[in-house]
Amino acid sequence: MAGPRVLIVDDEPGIRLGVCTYLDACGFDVRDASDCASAVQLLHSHTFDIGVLDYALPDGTALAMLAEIARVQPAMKAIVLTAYPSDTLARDALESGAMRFLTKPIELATLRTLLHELTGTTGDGP
Amino acid sequence: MAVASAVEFILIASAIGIVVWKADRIQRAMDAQRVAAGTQRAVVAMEHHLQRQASAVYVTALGPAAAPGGFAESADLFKGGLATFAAMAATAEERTLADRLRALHDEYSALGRSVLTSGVARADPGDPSSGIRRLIDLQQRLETAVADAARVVERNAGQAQERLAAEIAGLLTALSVISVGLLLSLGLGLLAVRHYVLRTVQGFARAADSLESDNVAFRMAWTGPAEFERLAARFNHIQERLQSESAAKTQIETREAEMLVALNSEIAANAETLRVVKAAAQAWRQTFDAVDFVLLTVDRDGVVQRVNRAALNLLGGGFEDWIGRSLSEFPDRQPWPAIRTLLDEMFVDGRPLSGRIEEDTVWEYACTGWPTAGDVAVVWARDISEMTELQRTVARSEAMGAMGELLGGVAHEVRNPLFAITALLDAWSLKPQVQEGPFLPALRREVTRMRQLMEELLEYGRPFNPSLVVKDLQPVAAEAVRILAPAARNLDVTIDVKVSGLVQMDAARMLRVFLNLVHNAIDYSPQGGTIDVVSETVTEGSQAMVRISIRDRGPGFAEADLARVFHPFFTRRPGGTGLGLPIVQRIVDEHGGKISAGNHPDGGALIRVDLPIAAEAVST
Repeated sequence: MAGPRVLIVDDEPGIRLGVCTYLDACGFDVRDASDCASAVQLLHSHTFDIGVLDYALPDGTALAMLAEIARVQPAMKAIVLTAYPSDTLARDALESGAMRFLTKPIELATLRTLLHELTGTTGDGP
Repeated sequence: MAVASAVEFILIASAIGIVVWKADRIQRAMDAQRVAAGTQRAVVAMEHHLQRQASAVYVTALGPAAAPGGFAESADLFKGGLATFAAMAATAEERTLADRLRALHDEYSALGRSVLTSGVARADPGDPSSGIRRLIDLQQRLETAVADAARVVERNAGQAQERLAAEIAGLLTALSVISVGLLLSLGLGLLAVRHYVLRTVQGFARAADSLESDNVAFRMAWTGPAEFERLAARFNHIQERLQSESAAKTQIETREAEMLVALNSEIAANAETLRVVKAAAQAWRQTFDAVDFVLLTVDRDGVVQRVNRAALNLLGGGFEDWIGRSLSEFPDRQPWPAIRTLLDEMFVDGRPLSGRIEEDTVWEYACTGWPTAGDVAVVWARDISEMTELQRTVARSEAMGAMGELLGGVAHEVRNPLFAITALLDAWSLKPQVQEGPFLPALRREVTRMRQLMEELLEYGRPFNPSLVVKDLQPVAAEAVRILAPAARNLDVTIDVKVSGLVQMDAARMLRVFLNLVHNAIDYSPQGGTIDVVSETVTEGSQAMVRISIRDRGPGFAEADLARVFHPFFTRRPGGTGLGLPIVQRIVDEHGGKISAGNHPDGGALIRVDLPIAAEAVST
């Protein structure tokens, strides 16, 4: 069986490359988008178990995507990452349906564990 | 004729003998009287000058218009009068009195000079133990002694006068007897001799009259036998002395009367002046004391004449402990040494000077006065530590605000590439063809350092949170120790925490203070060492503070490093960011506290953090 289906949204190509490569190697089914618009397209064409969303994107914020996820794929879970943490942002994100609000950078091993935990799966490790 | 002549001769001879004998006695009586009058004058002079000294004492006691010069002058004149009195003292009683007066006055004038010069009198005239009180007591005893002397000399003068009168009366009687004898022998005697004798008798009768009527201007004109001439000359001499003494006496009496009038009006004027001056003095002292900075006046010799209440609060003790003392006897802690130096400089330079010293306390001080503006220098000093600290805090927080914004921006922007690097490293390390060599771990280590630096920069530059909440320090300290417990266990380090105290705080920031400080302490602790984290209450000015002391048993700070430990990026630890203590200082600053670094006397580093106790905690 294929691993959990993960959507990575971040405008930094380096981050997308690192995270996608790592998670792919760990057995996740990974797709990525660099902005809100392309992420929403993916939401309409594919089914995901969980999303890892950068808060600040060129054409919007993770909050808009969280609303779209709730509308299009209510079963999909989400984690919000940011380089600009604040109490207000964290509250907004959690209220909009995010499961976690994390500050960059995070260890990918930690992220992997968290994704398994939230999707109720277990990984075999890389 | 021979018989008559013989009788006449005998009469005349005895007349001469009696007159010579009597004249001698009269002269001695007059000498005694002169002495008595002299002592009387001396006593009057003493009375007068004592009054003047007393006047100086009262003037000085009641107001700032000191007249120590007037006192000293009067004291010297009194001493002159006393010397005359002592030299002329004819009786044992007078000599005893002179000794008593001398002893009393020596003490009185010495005390008076010191008290009036020092200004102690003005400091506290009401205090029964003060110099002025003792001075007034001595003065009253002196007044009694002078009054005793006056009584004695008056009595002696009276006696001398009576003796003189008696002697004169005796002479007159003798002369009358001789005159009668001579009249009886008129018929028998030689005309020429009779003529002489009659003239003699007439002359002496007139002389006696002049004595009786106090006609000191009368002189005997005499030519004749040498004996009579000598007698007349002596009489004239006595008369002259009497005349000059009576003139002198009149003069003295007039002068004394004038002086008494002058003294009375002076006292009356003084009383009014004193009332005004006293009110002004009180107002002046109140103003002097109301000033909340140190204020004192110093004379040219460096003797302190006045200190205000603020100075006394700094010095301790009472006014009498410091007034009249030389500034060189003042404590060796600031600002006194600085003030001494400044006064020395001003004495040379002649211009008002000011200065500023920064030690434990920041003092601003200045002096003005002599030699340009009178005999007294006015010195003030002000503790501006709080103001200086406030200015620095403001400047620092302004600079920190601008820097914090910049740091925050940079640190945030660094987060994304940093995440990209760590993500790529993580991904790369999973590639099957990549060998786990020295490069990957080294890269990871460096990235971790960068990340830590960034987090600390963010912490350091974090904007001030103005909404502080009153909370107990105890759980914050406990949380820090809990977080650091694994690190402590690794080194077998024991952390002893006894911290409590209600403080207005941002608990998350305060946690960082404990984390950083205890973390440092663990890092520098020897294997199996102990770290004490304790608090106590101290008072800083009027502010109650919680003092948190964190002490390890490590090598402590190098003396040369102490000045720099709070500078950003200063570190002695390999791989350290040098921001741990600056972050702590920043947070402590924001909480209105103070931090200092040093070494414990028994070894190990000792960091002290003073935080103001919350007002709620103080009032309950």
